[in-house]
Amino acid sequence: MATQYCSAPLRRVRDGDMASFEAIFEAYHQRICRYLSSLVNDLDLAEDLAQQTFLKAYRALGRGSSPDNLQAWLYAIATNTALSALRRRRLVRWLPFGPQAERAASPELDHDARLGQQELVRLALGRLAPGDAACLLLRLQQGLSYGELAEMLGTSIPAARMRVSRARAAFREAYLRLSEEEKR
Amino acid sequence: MNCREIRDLLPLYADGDLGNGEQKAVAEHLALCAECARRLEVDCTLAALLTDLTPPERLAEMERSLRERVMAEVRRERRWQPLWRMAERVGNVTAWATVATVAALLVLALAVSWRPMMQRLGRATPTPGVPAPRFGPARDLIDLPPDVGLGQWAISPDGRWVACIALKEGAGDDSRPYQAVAMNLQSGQMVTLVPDLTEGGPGAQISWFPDSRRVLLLVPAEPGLRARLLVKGLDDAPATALVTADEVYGLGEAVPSPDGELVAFTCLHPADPAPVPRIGVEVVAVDGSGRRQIVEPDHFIGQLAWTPDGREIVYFKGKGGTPPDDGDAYAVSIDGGEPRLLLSQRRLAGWSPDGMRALWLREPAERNGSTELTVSSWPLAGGPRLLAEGVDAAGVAWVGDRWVAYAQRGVLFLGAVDGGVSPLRLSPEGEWAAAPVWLPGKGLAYAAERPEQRAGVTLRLLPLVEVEEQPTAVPTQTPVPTRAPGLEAIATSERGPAGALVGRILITNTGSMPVTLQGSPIVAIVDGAGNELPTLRGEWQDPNSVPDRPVTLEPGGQAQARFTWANYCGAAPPGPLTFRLRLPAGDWLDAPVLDASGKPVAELPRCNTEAPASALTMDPFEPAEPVSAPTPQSGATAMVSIMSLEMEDSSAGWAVSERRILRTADGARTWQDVTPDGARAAGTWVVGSAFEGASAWVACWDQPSGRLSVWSTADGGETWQRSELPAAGMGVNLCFIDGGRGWALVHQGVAAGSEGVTLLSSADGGRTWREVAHSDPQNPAAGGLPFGGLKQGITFADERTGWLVASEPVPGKVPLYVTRDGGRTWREQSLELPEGWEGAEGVPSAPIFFGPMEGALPVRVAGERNGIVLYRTRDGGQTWSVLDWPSDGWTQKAVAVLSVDEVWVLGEGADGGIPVLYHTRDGGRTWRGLKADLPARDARHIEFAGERGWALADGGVFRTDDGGQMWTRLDPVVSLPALPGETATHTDTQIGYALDYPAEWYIRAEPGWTVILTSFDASGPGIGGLRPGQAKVDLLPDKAWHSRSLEQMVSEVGSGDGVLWEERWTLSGGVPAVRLQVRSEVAGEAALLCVVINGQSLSLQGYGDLVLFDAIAASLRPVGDS
Repeated sequence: MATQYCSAPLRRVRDGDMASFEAIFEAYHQRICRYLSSLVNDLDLAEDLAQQTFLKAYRALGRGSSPDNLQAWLYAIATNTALSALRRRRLVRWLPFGPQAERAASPELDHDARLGQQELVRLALGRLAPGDAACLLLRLQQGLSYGELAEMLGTSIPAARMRVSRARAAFREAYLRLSEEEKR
Repeated sequence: MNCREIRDLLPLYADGDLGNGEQKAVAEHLALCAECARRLEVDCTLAALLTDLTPPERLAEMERSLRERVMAEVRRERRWQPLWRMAERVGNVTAWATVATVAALLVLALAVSWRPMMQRLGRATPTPGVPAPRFGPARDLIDLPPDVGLGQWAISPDGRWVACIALKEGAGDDSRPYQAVAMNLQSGQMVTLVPDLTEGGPGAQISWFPDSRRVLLLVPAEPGLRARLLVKGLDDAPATALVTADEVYGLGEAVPSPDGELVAFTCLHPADPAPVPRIGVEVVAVDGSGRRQIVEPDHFIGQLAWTPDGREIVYFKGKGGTPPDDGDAYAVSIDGGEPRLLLSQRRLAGWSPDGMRALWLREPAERNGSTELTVSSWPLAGGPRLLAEGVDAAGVAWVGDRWVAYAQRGVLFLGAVDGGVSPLRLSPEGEWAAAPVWLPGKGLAYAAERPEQRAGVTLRLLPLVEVEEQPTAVPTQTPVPTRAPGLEAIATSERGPAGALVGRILITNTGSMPVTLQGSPIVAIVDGAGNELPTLRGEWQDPNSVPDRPVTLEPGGQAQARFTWANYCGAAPPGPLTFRLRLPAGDWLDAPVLDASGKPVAELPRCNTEAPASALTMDPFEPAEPVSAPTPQSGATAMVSIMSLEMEDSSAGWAVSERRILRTADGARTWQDVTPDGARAAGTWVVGSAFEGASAWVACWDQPSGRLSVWSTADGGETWQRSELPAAGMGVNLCFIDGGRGWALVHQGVAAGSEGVTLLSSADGGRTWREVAHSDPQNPAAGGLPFGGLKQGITFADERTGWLVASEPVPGKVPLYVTRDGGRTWREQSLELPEGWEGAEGVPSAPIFFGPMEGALPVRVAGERNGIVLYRTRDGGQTWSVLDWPSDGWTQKAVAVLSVDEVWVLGEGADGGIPVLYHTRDGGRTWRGLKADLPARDARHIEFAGERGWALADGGVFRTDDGGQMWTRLDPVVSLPALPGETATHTDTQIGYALDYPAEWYIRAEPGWTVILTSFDASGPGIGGLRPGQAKVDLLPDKAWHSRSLEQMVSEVGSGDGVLWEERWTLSGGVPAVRLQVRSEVAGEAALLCVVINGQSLSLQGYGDLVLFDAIAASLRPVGDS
């Protein structure tokens, strides 16, 4: 647990110490950015979400919140923020017109790299339920422990493990389906 | 376990996370099942791919910009921290405040003159019997020292002092660099309260006791949380320590009681094992005696406030969630006892000065930092009522007992607690306002941050100008006796972006002498009940001369000022509206607000909840140039696919496309789009039309509501009136005869070759409708409107005699019904197809009548061969005879009947489908035939006026001017309207395009990349669903489509489902584009413009108000030569 590491800077953030907050930001922002950009597959949105994540964290710390595990806590804020944004986005954002447009809507994809595995991975991620995609990325990309995941999800460790396993199975099926489509 | 179960476990197996039993079972299965083994391999590959998912190239750039954005926001927040403490403190300040003598310095500010003041300052409308405060322009009180945030400064309740905790000047290496000081706002006198403090910043707090003579200081004694609580007077007496650093682990906040005798504070306690401090509430007397705990330490507790009677403490208790925004308001007696829950998910924002009501803030989940402001009675009785949404947490203060000042995204508004009045903007543009403090008798103080002061906060004052003396009963009629002589005013208006009313107030000198206008008029909106809505001051300005020079109007001369009124949901004043101009000389001038057609505006600007207030803005009055025709030319055009065409003569005519009503005055060479705005809305379809000279009737079906309406015009589409049809349905056949009598046959649904219909009639040109008859499938009584057959049209020859045609799958039959009593009863008078058409089915069009006796009935026939049979009558429809075509062996495609004797018929010859055209003037005795050089097949409609003719074929319009020999294609093109109101331009030099958008919209643009335009402020946390009246436009350069042509883009989009219609556009510079209307399950109807500019495929996507989208999209144009 990161308790020892966290407590001092957290208290100082509560006291308005900018340097302490900056230290937290420096320690986590790259991971959070990468996580969010993989999760939502939209850099502009990911940047907005990362900003919201850190501001929420700053406000929460300023109000006396003192999480036991800063990393899990930050990922929880990022995940909650992203999932609710994805829900909102469905209401207003353009809906893809099928796989071609899905591709077109992901600005990071270079035309030449369309057939690459990475792109398929992104597309497959995009086809998962956002919550599943979040679990998958947190475990495999961000390296959170099942304990941290369980804390975030508010479940037991075996339940978190099963959730990740199911998400991975869904991910595998989505990937295989996309590969088939691509071959045709 | 079967394969399916195994596959769920594979990832765990790959990670070695399975128990022994399961591990073994999976391994055994894998040895036998190649497919599952393959999946395991995929799992391992995918895990690796996901772990290494390459960060996008722009990630580094994003991280940089993120750092700047987050730190800038945090710095701003830091200054405003702790917001919620201030919100609560403000409430107490007003409760204690007593009316003090007005300071000399403040008196100066009362001398507000007629100086030009174009900020939206002014005076709110009183609720009956309650005077509204009126404020002059804001002025600076004092600049706070740098890095002093909320909580580290406080204005004394009497408005004379500001106390703050700040860095000492030139503190340098001072180990105790902070001090607490009080500054006198009148004399500038500075009193040092506590000279040396180790720490300032958000850990320190300062507040005033109600007597304005003492302050309460909470100062961290050591780095960390150890703190002490002090009381210090303005005099020389030493500070009294209420709680010392040794006594407590830490302090959160402290609040003096209303009588100034006690202090309540939150006390932090170390919690074991986690370092999450628990927080309790304690009370201590101002002499340091009687300290006691009244609330046990628990999760986060804060935002303490004393009830007005000083008997209880109200506090907010968080639930400890992630993030811990969630919490409830509790009250506890200072004598101890169990706390009681007051309100869930709310925190107190202050009591009214009379202590009878309380303001509460609620932060809904997912609405980060944006709160709902609600009001309740005190003590609580019933739930709180919503006053405003999106309120800044640190921006609420009572202004007297009936008004409240609050901030929304840094803009201060004055709202009436009892409602009924639009909130009024208080703080000027260009500053971020927060933390209002009501100083009775003086005004409203607040903290302002201005962009030019990067780190500083200025305390400003909106001085109270006067207590409203206006009688509560506002004159309800134009005050004729004081009306300004020799001047007349009107206001013309139209609906601007996002539902705002935009237009101009025009003053005309109707007298015989020149009139000089000087000073500043006060402009108010007066509703139909005579109540005044937001008021502002205007000014006269001669743009050609030095500022402030008066404007002189010669007789007949005019002055005008442009205005914009964005309404607010809270206000629902009844129309008609009038602008009342109170001239500096005391005269009144009323300007009725008229719409584009010159009718009084009775319907108010629609509710736009994003607008935080009803905001009236106005430009200065300037001499008006003669009014020019409002025909904005954007240069962009749309090619229209015409569905039906009706020419009145050789030049004037009408056409209908799927979405547009068009009018031509030059024989279909050019078209003007005269579609009423109401018929353009997403989900609205044109489902029927009738034309007669300059009059037109257009039936629209509003898909979402299922309602049918008829738009009518008598002036060629300049103005339209709408009426609703008292019948539900999906299609309408309209028919009008002289004298404004009309019928509407409403199609209500098809079932197995039958169709329910309702017949409506109007006697007043389509303004009102009543039902005449309807078909009754259950009870098909003789004489009723028929249920069988699909109804094809209706025609009335006069007021009594009408014809209804239908199609039935009965070979040889032409179903025809007649009424002789205006539509109430019907008799079948079906016709038979003539010899040679046995076995064919006929689909009749609505008959055409030339007076009550003579008429024609074209019937399209399909069987072994296709063609048209034309029946004619000369006896009012008693008998019908078939007109013989000139020869056999050709296929009739379209017929134009100019009279029972003059007929044009277009067809295709047997020899390879060459177009042939026949014309008779003598009822078919002689025919003139010619080979028509019509470069199209499948003509479906022709019209003739003399030698000039038109044909609809192959999706285009063709015209002949020589009786049918030579035909030229006229692509019906309409100019796309430009944006109404003021516009701004976004230029992207990387791609090389520009586009215009309404000046008041919000834009987020990245060069060479996406642009997001919104009619509402979407810069906050995320984007919610669009509300009525909102619009959003996204521009997306499509990298994947980079090398694709426009056609490829369209076909890819079009291959998805949901394309409702498309239109070819030509943008400025001749750039082709395609406008698609699409339906998405979630966003509803939306618009898409595909275009390639400088080799880059761009798609512009619109949601919400699609009329505005079209205007924005039409402005897209290439710039430069990149």
